[in-house]
Amino acid sequence: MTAQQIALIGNPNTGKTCLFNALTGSYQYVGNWSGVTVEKKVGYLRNQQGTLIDLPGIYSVNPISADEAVVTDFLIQEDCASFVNIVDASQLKRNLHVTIQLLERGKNLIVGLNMIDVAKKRGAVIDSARLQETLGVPVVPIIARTEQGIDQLNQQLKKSKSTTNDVLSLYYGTIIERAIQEMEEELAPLPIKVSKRWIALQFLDGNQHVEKLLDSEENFDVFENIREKAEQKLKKEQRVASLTQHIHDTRESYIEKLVQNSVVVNTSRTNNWTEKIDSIVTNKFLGIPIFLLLMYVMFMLTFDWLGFPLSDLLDAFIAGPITFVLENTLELIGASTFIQSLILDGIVAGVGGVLVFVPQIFVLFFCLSLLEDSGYMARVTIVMDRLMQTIGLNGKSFIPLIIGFGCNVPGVMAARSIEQPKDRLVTMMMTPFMSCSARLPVYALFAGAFFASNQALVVLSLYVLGIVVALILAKFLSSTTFKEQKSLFIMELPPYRLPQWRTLWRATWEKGKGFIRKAGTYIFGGSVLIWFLSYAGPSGLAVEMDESYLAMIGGVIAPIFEPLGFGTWQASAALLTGVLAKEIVVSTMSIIYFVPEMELQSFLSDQFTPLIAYGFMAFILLYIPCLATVAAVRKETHSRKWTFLSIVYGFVSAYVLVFVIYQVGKLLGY
Amino acid sequence: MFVNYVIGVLIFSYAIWTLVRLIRRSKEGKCAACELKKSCAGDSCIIPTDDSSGYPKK
Amino acid sequence: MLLSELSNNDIARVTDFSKVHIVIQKRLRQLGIKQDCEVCLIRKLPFGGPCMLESSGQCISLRLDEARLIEVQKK
Repeated sequence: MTAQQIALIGNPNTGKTCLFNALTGSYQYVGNWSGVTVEKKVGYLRNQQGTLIDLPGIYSVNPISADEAVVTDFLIQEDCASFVNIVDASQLKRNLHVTIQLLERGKNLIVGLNMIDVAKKRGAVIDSARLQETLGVPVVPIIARTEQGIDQLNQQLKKSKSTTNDVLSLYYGTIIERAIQEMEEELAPLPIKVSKRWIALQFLDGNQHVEKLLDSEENFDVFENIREKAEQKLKKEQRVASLTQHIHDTRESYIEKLVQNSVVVNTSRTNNWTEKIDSIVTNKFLGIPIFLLLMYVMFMLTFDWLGFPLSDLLDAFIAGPITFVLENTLELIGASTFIQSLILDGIVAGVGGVLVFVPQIFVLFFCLSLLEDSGYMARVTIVMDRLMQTIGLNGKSFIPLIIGFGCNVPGVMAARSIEQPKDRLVTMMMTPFMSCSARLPVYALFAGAFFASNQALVVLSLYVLGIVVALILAKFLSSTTFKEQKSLFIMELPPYRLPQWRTLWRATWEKGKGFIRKAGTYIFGGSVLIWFLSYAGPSGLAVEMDESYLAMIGGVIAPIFEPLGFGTWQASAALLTGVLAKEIVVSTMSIIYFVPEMELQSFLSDQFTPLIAYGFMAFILLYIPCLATVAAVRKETHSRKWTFLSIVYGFVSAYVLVFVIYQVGKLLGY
Repeated sequence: MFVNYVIGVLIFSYAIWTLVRLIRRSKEGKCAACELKKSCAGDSCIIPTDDSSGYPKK
Repeated sequence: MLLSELSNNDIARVTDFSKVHIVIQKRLRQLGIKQDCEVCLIRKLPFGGPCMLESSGQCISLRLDEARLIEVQKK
């Protein structure tokens, strides 16, 4: 490819993705905590000069967590990219560690000095011209959130050529320099695309991904020997704890000098409202209650106060005017009964049955975006850490779980920022139990039909049920399979910031849009398929639904659910389709019961009692994760075994729990 | 009568296409969930896998 | 004394954190914690939950278990 390729790189939570959105005009997910972006993302630059790659945030090129490893691999493999290093001006010193490591790799770099406004508020004025002079690469001050300085950055990008062989050579002392030289000689014949000195340094620093790169070479022993020798010598002659420590210290003192020369600090700490908010939300007594209250408010907004009435309005609109117009149009163009049934009983019932929940899903996503953008998410991790510790996990696991309320797939992916592999795996096993937005229509439908007076409470109990089952599973896993492994916790708490309406709206819209798109694509497809299966049977078309193919298929597995109370072919068919995507459950039910969603609820009362309905909802919540989630688990765990287990755990816990609910409920006379 | 065939064929072929795509995309995993599909420059949304350093053999 | 023994808003100098888990040690270093740097204990969460530290303008949260392994000198 001849087009220019530029990658964004820098510490976590410094605004890389924010800048990415500004430069590409696309929308990527932004949030206010470390580890929002966990994978490589690619977009076209607005001015058509090439592609821009958004990378996860890193504290160092030497990775600890899986999202950081994505970046290290990128640095090892890609040779054509030039970089924009985003540096948080308010945390200059520690950000520059990454800058130094990048400069050691090559000077095809532009430094974007972000959040100069925050730095200024904290009393630090940075002389970017001076910095530019010392580093030898362009330094552009920007404020990514308000898109200030983007034009200057764009101009620099145009000028930048990725063909520079210049690197920064810090002097690390005779011992390390000798080791680097020996390494370079050994590396010379290898087909490595990037600076050999950089590879050598990273290897000496103990970078495991660079080790993996060299692992297959025959002279790997030689490399290890060089490192071993250098470390011994350093320890003996200079009394340094380790090679890593020495390399870090050398960089640190270089940065120290750099900062001294180019930063004027007037120490006046003004950013105190973060501390004030923190003193409340992480308060001894109030911390957990405030978290629960926020969750409750979010939930009530979605199901009771705001989302529900809006959904009702939309429902009336679809069942009324829209159906009326469609009916008349079909009549007018002389459509056959087959087509009429296909459109009205299949598509309108199936797609419309799901579409009515769009307002509720938007409200939910809005609340989630608010949580994500404000900086509260990081506080949730520390408030919940103590609880998570008792089940052998750490507070960071809570972020994937909360994201899972929106959709399980990004939830599973968000687990990448968790450092300990075991904590990460267990979190991924827990995430499918979080009640995602696709399951919301099922609850809304059943709770509306059977528990009209205390709808919200019933649905809340399901959300809690999902969390409790997930916690039990985690406790089980960490006290059996992972008994030996300790969980760890360390978290950086970013300052709060006032969410911008623009960001919030875009975040909500982008996530909600996905749901609408689904309605237009596979919910539509699923509805047509299900309608056809219910319309056709062994004896031909337009059969009684009880003699359709769908009834036959559902009937085969129905006996399995007999002990749970919903052993009908209708329920079984809905559960089957739900494996594809949970939204389709409601579409299926709407089509099967042959009526628009408004009347569906009354029809349901014939087949379900409130007890069975509750059991059915709980089953939908817990049973097999949807296809996309299973695939995400498979990709992220790299393990067939764990993917299989996540399906088994879901199904078994759903079956056992609903069995208990139904049988005990029956005994109690419900 | 003609109208019926056109509508029928359109709806069914679209429905089948969406379902085939759903299953294919879901198996691919994350690309299905990626909002960047439109402006994505191809096969570059990559997660490191255990077998190599994670980049596709082009 | 140990970091965990500080009370709220105490400022101290880190003297040794080589005993904490290697992963945490690495992260602390990346976040700018080093020998002789100043930290301020903002608060500890209840039931032996994590504690919040402030160091050169950034806030870090750490488990009490780990804080018990960090030696500091109170100012």
